[in-house]
Amino acid sequence: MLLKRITPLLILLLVITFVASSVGATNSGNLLRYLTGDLSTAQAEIMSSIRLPRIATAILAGFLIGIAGATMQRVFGNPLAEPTLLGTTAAAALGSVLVILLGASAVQFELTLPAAFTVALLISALAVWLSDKTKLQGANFIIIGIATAALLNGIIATVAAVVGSSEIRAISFWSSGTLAFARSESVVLLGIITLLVLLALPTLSNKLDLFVFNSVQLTLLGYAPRRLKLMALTLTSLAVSATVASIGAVAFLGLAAPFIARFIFGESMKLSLFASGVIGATLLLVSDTIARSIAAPNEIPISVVTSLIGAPFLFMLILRNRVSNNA
Amino acid sequence: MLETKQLQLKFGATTSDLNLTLKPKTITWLRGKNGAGKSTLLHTFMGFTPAKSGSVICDGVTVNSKNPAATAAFFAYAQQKPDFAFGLSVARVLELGKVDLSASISQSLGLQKIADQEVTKLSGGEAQRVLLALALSSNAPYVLLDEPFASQDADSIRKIKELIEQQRQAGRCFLIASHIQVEADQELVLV
Repeated sequence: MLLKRITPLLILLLVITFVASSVGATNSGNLLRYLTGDLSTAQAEIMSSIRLPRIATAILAGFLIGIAGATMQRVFGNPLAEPTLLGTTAAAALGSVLVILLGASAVQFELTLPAAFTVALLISALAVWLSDKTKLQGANFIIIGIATAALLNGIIATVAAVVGSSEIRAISFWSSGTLAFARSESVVLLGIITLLVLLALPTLSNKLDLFVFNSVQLTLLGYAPRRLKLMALTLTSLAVSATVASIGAVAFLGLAAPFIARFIFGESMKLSLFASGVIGATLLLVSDTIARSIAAPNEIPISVVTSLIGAPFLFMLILRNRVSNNA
Repeated sequence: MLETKQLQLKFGATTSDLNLTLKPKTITWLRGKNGAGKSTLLHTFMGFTPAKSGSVICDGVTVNSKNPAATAAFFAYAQQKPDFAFGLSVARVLELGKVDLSASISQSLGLQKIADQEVTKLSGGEAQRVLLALALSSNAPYVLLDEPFASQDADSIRKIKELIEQQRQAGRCFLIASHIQVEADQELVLV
């Protein structure tokens, strides 16, 4: 059932993967010719060390961001909740920046990931506590999230301005986001986290549907609402941290992917959670391919492209009256 | 048996001490004007709203917010105004609430006809019948219903009353806040 309905999406992703593999600043053939050994040594080298890791990174990171967005929207009962708007992304970036300041390099994922995860989880837990305590809903809750994100980004920008030049490049990379540094290390990192998320997916999709009930009903059904939320947000914090550590912050993807998924597959996360991931993967791959090819050999920032694609979805969201219904 | 001892509510107009005993196989009709504290009373019984003073003791166990497991074990509850967070189908919501769509309760409440509809697009009465199905299908001995008849047509009211009566005879204890008359073993009037 799940695979059958998601198959068209997976085929689309495969086609775009092929197209993306044939687009670039240099003529390096395509995935098919690479797989059949029909490329020169130089072309094959570019394909295996730069282009394919970059494509794989886009797919895996997009998948994780899509899942994280869909999960947060359910946990907070808010169609606008997503990692960037609520400050989780900025928190993960801040965590990474802190260990880089302590001397780590930006690609030492074994150091940046735990730090990013810890700060992201702290901010997520704070958001749960705040939403339970204040009963803030709709727009007010999002405004708190935006303020948190702005505060954290402000700290990162200040740190970037104060520290020496070599770290600045790494630090500015967290807030603007780029796949230009995607290498096999990031593929491995994202691959491991994606595997973990995939293993948790059947349970998670079921649990997320439970948030249709309010906390009184959840308690009476024998669930602990706060524990459910924290479990889900632990997973999203991990997913967001891995993407931030490898490609930095990407705007709007966590908002747009789940929206499209629910539009196609309905409100139940049985189908829409996995679909959010696949759509996130597709959107990020398309965006990155545009970002690196439209002004080649120069690249435009990834968030510029995802914003151009994602912002119209926000307009659609508002026009469909969802915001006012849930505010 | 559920007992309240000198219970004072935190919200609502009622200021008197509530000393109340709810026994198995009984129905208690909770009456009172709007704002008297009927919904607060139900929430206080379940431990979701702290009491101003006094206590709620259920089969010897004190119920409060620190003991959610006791709340889940003792109580079923259907609130007056459904507030489903998003548009899952009725069938999916019942599945999540461990309610069998083909069971007699779902049938009596007419839920099979609306099984494919989104819960957020139901009429007030239909959405409340989904909540009633959840409450009436649980195994909890104490069933608290907040205005279960308010949005229902005559036929639905009759069927809901039949279900309540069947379950009362089977041993459950009902506390029903209602503006509409309920045939009850005792009445509690909040003033």
